[in-house]
Amino acid sequence: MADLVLDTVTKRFGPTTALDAVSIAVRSGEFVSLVGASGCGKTTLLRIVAGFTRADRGTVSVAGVRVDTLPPHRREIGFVFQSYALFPTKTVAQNIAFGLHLKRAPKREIAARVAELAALVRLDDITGRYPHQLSGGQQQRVALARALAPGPKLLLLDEPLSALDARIRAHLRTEIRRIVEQTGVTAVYVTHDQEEALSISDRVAVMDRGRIVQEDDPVSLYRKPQSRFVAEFLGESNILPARSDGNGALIVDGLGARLPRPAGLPVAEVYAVSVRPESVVLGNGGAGALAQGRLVSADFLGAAVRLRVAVDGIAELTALCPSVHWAKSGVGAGGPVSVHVAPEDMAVFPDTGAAGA
Amino acid sequence: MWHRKTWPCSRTPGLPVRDLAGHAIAVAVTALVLLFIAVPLGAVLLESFHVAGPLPLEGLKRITVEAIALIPEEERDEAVQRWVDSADDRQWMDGVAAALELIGEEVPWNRAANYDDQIAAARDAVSALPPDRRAAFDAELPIAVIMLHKRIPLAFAVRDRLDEDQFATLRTGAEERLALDHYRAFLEEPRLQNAAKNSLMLAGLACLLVVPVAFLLAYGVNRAAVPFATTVRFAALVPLVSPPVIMAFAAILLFGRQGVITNDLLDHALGLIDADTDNLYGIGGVVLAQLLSFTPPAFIILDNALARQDGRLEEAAASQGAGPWAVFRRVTLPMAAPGLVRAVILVFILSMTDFGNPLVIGRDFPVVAGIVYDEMIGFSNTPLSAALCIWLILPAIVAYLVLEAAMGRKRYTSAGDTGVATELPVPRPARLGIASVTYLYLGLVSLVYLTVVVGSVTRVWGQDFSLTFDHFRETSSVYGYVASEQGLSSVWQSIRIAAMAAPLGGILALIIAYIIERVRPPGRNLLNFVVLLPAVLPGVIFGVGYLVFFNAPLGMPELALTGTSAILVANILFGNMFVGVLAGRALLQRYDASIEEAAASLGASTVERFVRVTMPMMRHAILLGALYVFIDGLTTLSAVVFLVGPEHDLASVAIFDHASNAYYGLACAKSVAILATVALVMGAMGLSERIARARGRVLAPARRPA
Ligand SMILES: Nc1ncnc2c1ncn2[C@@H]1O[C@H](COP(=O)(O)OP(=O)(O)OP(=O)(O)O)[C@@H](O)[C@H]1O
Ligand SMILES: [Mg+2]
Repeated sequence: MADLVLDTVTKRFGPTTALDAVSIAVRSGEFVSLVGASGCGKTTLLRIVAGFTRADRGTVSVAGVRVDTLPPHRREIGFVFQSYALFPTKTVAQNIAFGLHLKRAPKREIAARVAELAALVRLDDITGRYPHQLSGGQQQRVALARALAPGPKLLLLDEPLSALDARIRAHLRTEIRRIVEQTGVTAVYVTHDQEEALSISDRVAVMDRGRIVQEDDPVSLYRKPQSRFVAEFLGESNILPARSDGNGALIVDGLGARLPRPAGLPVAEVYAVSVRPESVVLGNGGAGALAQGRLVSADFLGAAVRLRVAVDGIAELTALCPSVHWAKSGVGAGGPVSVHVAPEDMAVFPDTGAAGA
Repeated sequence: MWHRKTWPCSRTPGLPVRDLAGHAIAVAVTALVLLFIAVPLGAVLLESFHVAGPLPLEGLKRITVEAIALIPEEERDEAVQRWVDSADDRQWMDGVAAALELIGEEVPWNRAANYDDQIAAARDAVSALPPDRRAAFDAELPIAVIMLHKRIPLAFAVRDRLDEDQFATLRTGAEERLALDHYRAFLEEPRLQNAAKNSLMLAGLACLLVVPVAFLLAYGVNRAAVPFATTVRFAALVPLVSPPVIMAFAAILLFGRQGVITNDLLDHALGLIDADTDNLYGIGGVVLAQLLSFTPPAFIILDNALARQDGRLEEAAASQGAGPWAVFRRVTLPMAAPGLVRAVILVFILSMTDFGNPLVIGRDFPVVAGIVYDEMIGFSNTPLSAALCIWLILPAIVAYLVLEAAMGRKRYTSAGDTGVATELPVPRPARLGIASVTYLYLGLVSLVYLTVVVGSVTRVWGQDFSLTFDHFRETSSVYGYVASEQGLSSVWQSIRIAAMAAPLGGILALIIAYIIERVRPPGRNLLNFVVLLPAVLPGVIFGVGYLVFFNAPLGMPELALTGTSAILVANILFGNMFVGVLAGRALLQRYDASIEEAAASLGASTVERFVRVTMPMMRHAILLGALYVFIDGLTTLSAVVFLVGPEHDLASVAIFDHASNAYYGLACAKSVAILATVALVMGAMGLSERIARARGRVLAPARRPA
């Protein structure tokens, strides 16, 4: 078990800057996810930590020791590849035992460890098979077991589930979480599936064009995005323009809401407020309504209904309402509605325009 | 790159069954391919069992008795008596020996002794015969004498009562039958055994040298372990388009008795060696020539194998704690094993069937392929040559089957990001080693080409290094060498033949590809298999097959193609068509069949569709197929050497002849002419492709989503 510290790691491929002075610290035993759009540098970051690629600048330390000058085979870092990269000429058991063989561990020890890991990933009955005789999900588990077998200080997983279909994915991600927790290894997990990241991580770092734009625990990250990019990348969001009233408060345009300025908010000319659709509560008038609008459309999604509301001053708001509540309200399209948002459900940040995403 | 990835065409185009034209053409093309590929190859096999041997005594007696019976009754006894009487003592003695054998007695004297002794012994033996055997003996003796020594007058006496074959058999006393004699000769004759030993040793050495060198080249290029990897890859492939035996005679010019390095530098200038004894003739020279000639084809295979490797596997191993050497030994090498096996087998076959290099530089180092050449060219002994050909490819086939069986268990399908190389650096010492081997090899190749160019304008290499262009000229009489082989007329002839074969080959290849991919008749697997045969079978066999079969196709000498340019065109065309077929199939698999279905729905017939829709899209494949046929037509030796007639000399054959007769200037001049032609044509094709691309005439391949 060890912690991982990256300090201003930079990597260029010709004209592209894959990583732009990235710094991040992962605590020992922590499960951190990296999310971001395709091409934002997630894989590059992992490969630099593993030692497959060299950074142009910056340092990588594991357990307080700099590893960036070490070749990958001396770093004791396990890696799970998107394509699994199982050795096709070796059986499941031989794949798992590969690293142990290299350490010249005694035969009996190897056999015991292979059995232990095969049990951990629930593959004990097919250790004699070759990779091409396995399903995608099974290959994935073998790759995980192989990476864990030598007892790495750190486990890196690069979109390990992206080649699988949605149903298996949901199941396997909890499996991965369980296995990582059981072994207690520090893990960095790359995905571009935000739901996956939010559901299994202790902490999530959002990347955009070679930079980490925000890192936090999943709930804070979701509830308090600190930029338009994060707000839009993680789930759906209503972004509303806001401005300072010069008296330490913020005015959300259109909603007419006045918020106390959050502590630590950087000074900027324009601000934006993010409101999650499920935080937008509709009613028929009543106290505390922020604004009045008209219902434009209602899309039934099963568990919830997606409502589009036209509000004076802002183009449109999206609200998500549990369908059981919606059924009782009886409002039809074109009907008047009042809009309610609790102040704590609004996240404020300086608006840099519709960059990214 | 068309050959790296193909987009499988999961849907067969819905061609109507009533599309008779397509199927009729498919049948005709299949028949054509069978006739020009499968049948000649089969003819080699058949020919190898042909034994023309003297009839055994019983057989001789039978045909003699039958022939005598044909003589009119009234003349018969007198004729027999005349022939018996006219036999001299030696002939009588032979008759006695045969008659004794016919009645089942042992011949009681040494048949190898001198004739006078034998004759005396025969007299003694006759008088010593017991009386009861004597009658039988007397009955056989006249027949025995006639059948051994008077068969020819007998044959002419009854000629009008015999058919052609009977007459020939009677006259020669020999008959054709099918037997394994030629295969046995290989096991029994010391000359062949020695050659077999040499061939195996040579092939073994070639594999030991070529495959590692080619692997290092490919590894260096794929893992960026050498500087200028792209240039290295290109340079490594250049010798593929070189004229035959160029490596061998260039090696002689460099390292031979008169070689600039051995003689002028090491002997005269430095006095380190004596070039008359220390030179590269013999097995060393052959191995060097083969190393230079066979590394490019082996490189292609290994380059392909390594380029397909998933670099993530190596990274996975590294993250498991494997150092660079362990990664190489435990991952890279096992993954490359199938490619290595194919390379070994390819080099083995190439070396075993190579006669050019051994004949030019391998003095006193006879190999089986050289004997095939000698037996064919010198003695027209096709049956023995055919049997030797079969022996030549047998070890490779056996090796292939054994290795396939051994590796079958480890067959796998690779998935994932195949073809993405790892960025893991190759350790410095390894890089240095790889780079030195690479540049040493490329330096040697460059030296060869430089030597050939210089040699083509040098009066007499080793003696008179003055500048001359005589080797290119028609008129000069160099060393009284026969005029027809001077100058560049054979080069023009080669270009003419290759230029005839190339477009035919390109288009026929595309038709075949189209049939296999789109018409999909029931026999398409057979068609595909037969077209690919020349790719795996050595040229020698293909040449011998053409000679055997087209001498009298289907037993009709009137149809003979031997000695015409048609046989050369056909041989070059059908021997190299597979490249165009493979390219065409790969392209067709990438193009959406729906383009053609659209054309069909607009009312285009198969033929119209092919001409209007497919051909324009497939320009690239046609060009590639035609180019390959053209280049091979200019440079191939092994097949056509058996087929050129007196008026149809080819440059490659002329180069080989010059080189084996030590007219190196002429060989160099023709080689330079060929290389210039190839460079010109490839340059022109590259240019036309570029122009076409610039004009946007090349359709971007319609890729299907994976
Ligand atoms: N070996 C390379 N050579 C050149 N450019 C590269 C290389 N590897 C990555 N890049 C570039 O660096 C950037 C970051 O790539 P990276 O693979 O890290 O993205 P990613 O976040 O993993 O994307 P994805 O979600 O698609 O896997 C991209 O613009 C990519 O094109
Ligand atoms: Mg990636």
